[in-house]
Amino acid sequence: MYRLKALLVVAMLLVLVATPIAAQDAVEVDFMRFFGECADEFGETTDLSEAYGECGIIQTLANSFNASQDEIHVNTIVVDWPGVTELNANLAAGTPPDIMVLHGRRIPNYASRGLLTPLSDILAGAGIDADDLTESARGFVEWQGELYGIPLDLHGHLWHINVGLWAEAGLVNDDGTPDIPYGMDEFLSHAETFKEATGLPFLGMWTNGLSRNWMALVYQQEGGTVEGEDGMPNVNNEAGLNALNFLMMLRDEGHITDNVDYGASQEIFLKGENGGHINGTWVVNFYDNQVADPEGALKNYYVHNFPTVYDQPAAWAGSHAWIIPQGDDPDPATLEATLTFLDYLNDNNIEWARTGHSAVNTSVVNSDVYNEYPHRQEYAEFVPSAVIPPRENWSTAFESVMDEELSAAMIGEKTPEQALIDAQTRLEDFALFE
Amino acid sequence: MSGISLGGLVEGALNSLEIFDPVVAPYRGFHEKLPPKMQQTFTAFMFILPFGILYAIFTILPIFQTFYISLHKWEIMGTNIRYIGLRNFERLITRDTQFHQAFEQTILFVALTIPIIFVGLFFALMLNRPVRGIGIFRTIFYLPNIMAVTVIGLIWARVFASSGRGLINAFLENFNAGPIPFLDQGNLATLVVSFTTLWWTVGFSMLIFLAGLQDISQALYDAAKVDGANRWQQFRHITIPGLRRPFAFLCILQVIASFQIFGQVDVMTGGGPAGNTRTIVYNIFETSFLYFQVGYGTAMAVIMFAVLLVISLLQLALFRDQGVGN
Repeated sequence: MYRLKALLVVAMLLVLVATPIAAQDAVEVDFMRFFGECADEFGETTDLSEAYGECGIIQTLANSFNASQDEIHVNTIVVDWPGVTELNANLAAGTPPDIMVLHGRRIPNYASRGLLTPLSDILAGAGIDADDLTESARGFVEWQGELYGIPLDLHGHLWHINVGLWAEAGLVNDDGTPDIPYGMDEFLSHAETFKEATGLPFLGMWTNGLSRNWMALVYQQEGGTVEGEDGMPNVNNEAGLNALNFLMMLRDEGHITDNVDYGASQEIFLKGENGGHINGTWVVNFYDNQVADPEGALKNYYVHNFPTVYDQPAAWAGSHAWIIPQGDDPDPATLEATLTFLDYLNDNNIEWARTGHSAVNTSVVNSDVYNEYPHRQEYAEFVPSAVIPPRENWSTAFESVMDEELSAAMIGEKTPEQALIDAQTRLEDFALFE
Repeated sequence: MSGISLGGLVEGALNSLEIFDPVVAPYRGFHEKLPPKMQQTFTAFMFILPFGILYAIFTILPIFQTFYISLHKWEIMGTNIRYIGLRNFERLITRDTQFHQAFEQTILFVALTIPIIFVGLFFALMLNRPVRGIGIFRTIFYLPNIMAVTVIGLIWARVFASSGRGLINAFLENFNAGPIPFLDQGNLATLVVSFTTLWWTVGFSMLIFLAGLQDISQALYDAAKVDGANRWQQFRHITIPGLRRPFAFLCILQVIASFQIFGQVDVMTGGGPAGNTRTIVYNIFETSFLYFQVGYGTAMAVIMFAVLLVISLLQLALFRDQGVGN
């Protein structure tokens, strides 16, 4: 019996010794994010210069924060994009994360329900200068004059170009840069020239998720909009029909690769099977790394703002933002720890911008380091042309309803007119249901 | 160690149960006062009671809660809860074209996946032979059924991917054929999801039929052979009637499972293209978790519950007429 007791005491001591002293005292902060799982590659990395890609950089930011001090320990919880299902389920269960990344356009949905901690009055105390935020990024995290998040980036769709193939078609300038077309006629003329010279489509996009490109094309037209003056959806209009007909014409003429999802559209571009590809700011760093791969098909990469085919430039845009879903009455110790981590993330905004996203702090945007990032100047006009999706209750369903109805038109199940009528009906039903 | 034996351990364990004597003493007193017939029934109920309580809390109560929530505007986060009577049902039935499409799509899935039962019967007949190593084949055919739907969905999504990333299309590329947009054309995507379901679940049908086949007495076949029955006649007059119970069981289960199809759709198509593979359960998930409208989502669940209840009762009545369950 004596021996058994002695064994138990030794075992308990071993457990205590094995537990890091710092971890016992540290305030735990649950950090929920998407951007993928990469713990196998970056789980131990704390040197930010070694990190690349969205997942690698965000994982390393959490690691380096944990390594930089003993008082706070950040627990990373990886969720599937866009993280809304997990957030909603956790809110329902009363166990929301302490800090989470959320798309800025979704903030009103949560802020209006009192689920987010208002930040305007407490950011300064945490060392975060909200006045340094760019106007466009700030618009994503504000609701009724109050800040409910800190933006991480401004992101959106760009035109990724295989310059090698453009050169084959004679579509490059003397300095070797692509000869970017402006307006419908130039664009179609380039597309035709390219097809004749290479036998390949001029452009690629994932055709099962066209709402973002369609929306950009709508806003490129004079007076084009998807939102009525009363805040109700307005997608069944002339600009909307023009934009859809244009996309269908590109498909019918063989200028875009048809029937592809996101992964396939990316792969087709990287294999050099089309001249360009509409994708986000988030792949600039990744594609740039592909050029360095001697076995890769993409040898000469250029990235430009979303193509302008109508009257004015416009590109779909979004923002990733940090939110604190601790409600109106958070635990002071947890909130303080969370804000310390938030301050660290905000201070390192320039690291995140390496992904290709636009930075959100004026001080970073104006810095030399930021402006010297690869390809940054090639899409410098992205921010001024960024179009933010509507911030109404129906915007929750906007992308999925539009993707579905546009896809129905593209695969021939509905006429373009009928697809827009149905989209309008569905969004109105969503908006009006109380 | 020589002083410890298994018998001693068991006896010690039984003796330790004496600590419960003060708790069970009143029950024993009550039990002994009951008539002998009631004593048995009472004891049986006491054994069932713990399960019954858990079943009531985790199964029966949520069913009633579902009816209750369906009469409210109720957001998933527990916010903006308001009684709205039957308005959720009115919207569902009169205006919600997405729900109508999902309902039609679900019925199509049910129709397309019913043949799983017959494929399962075919495999069971093939594997019900006294062949050496047959157990290995039975295991192989059943294996997909024990895999998670996520794994199954990812495997087949990769096989049927629309561009050269898909196994089939990559193969076709070698012959300058394709690519076939398996997951990007409505009807094709529906067929692919149905095929995946068949591949995943046919092992279960096979297993139930196999058990049914082994329940049929060999003497019946021997007698039939003596009477000159050929193999078809044996199958028609002995095997089929002998499998009526497993057939009824599988029919009901298959219809219910097909109505509840979700995982394959979520992983492979996300309800697309153009909503062509959106089923009722996927629609409930989208409405409740992505659009917050859990009150409206539960109204859909209530309608599905009612439909399944009617179908199951009809099936039971049909099979009862044919002698199953008597």
